Amino acid sequence: MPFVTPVTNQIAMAVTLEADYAFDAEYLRSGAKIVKFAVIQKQEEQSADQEHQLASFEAMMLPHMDAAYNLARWLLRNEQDAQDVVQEAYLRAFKSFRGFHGSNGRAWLLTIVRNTSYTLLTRNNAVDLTTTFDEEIHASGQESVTPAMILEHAEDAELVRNAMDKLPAEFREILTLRHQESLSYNEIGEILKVPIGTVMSRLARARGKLKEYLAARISQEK
Amino acid sequence: MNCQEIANLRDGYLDGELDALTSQKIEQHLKACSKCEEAYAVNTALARAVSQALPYYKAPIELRQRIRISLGEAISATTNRGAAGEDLLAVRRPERVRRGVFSEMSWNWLALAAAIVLAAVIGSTLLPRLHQPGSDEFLATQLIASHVRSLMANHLTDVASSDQHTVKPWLDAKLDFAAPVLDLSGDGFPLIGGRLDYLDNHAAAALVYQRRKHFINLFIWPTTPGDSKVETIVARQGYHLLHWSDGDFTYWAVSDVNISDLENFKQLFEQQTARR
Repeated sequence: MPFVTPVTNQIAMAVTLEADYAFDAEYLRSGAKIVKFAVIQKQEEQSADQEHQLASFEAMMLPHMDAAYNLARWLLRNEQDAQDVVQEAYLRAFKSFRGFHGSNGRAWLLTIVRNTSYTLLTRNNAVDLTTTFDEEIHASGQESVTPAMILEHAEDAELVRNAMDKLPAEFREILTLRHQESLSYNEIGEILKVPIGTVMSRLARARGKLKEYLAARISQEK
Repeated sequence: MNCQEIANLRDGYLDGELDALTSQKIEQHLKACSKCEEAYAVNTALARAVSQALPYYKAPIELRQRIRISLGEAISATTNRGAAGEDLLAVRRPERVRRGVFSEMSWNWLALAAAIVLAAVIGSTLLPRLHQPGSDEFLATQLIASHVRSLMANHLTDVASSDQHTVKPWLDAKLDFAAPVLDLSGDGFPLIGGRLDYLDNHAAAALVYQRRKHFINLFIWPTTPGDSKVETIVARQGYHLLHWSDGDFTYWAVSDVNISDLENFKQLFEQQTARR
């Protein structure tokens, strides 16, 4: 342009400015879009992965909730504590689910339920964690109770339940695992972290103790 | 085997955990020794009592619900970690970058900040969806499929008209509800027509809008108790899905236009329905 008046010059500058700005704004907006898209994409991927994890966790673990609750209920002897422990155990299990590659989901979950229960029992200073010597029961005349009488009373749900509730936690849990969950010695050993020989001897002691308490009850009733 | 050895193995025998040979030996001894036989019978009775007479505590319903909720919260907590520290739910609408305002602050940072806020808001709107991963996933797939099919098979509309007073009566006559039909051509979203669809187990109205060269399918059906009321954004396979709901209807907008266009569309649509 050979000759430009000041006014047109100004207009030209303004147009250029606007064009520059428009280009920048568009450019930056598309940049922001890419960032935004990347963030969304990342979150989508993460949440999709998490959802997938949760879905497979739920499919594998939710069916064992009754087993988990029953064990916690027998260990803690209290409905509310049992609920809290099972919820806590499910959260813990989900957090370490990536590390779980075994096939026995129930045994794995029960291990966590058991550990969580013991944490609570220890915190509450429960006195019945291991075998306790019960003066009252030993003082009673249970020697007079014959095996035939025990056989007769073994059908009495109230009586058996009372005796079971008196047992120390380690006996309650092993009887529950063996007879209510029908787990094998191998699985019980896995949950309790003890060798199979110990599972057998502990079961024998648990049954012996249950029989003793039952006999004491029967002699009291006489 | 003597009686002491039997006593040691009796429980293993009772639980069926011994090998066949040992089991056979114990069996023989129990037949011969009444004292051992009696002790075995007592233990068998005790075992049966524990498995049958004692209560088996089933997990209460409220515990099931508690666990499902806390698991859902556990995954949303990890998804959102690092997105923002403060209460995300306090911010509902995406922040917009205001145009034409020159400030000392660099555009780059504004854009980045906006992107982060938007991502946080989108994250927060996605949360409710996580509680029920199955159903929404499936619905999103259905919606995209329907959108793609409508463009593919040259079956975009059953009634092609930019006149909302033509489309609405047509849809009303075919459906058992009266979906709101609006022409937003004044705002750059001309109405192309309407279509019938079947989604998520009920009949739905599909309104077709155009945005430049792109199409938006807006699916409408009466809100049922199971429908989520929370605004949701889903991005998948290059499509964006935007969900919202007013008192009566559930809306899903599906398109390949960008999120901000879709949100703009939603706001216009909401404003206009509220005005009527």
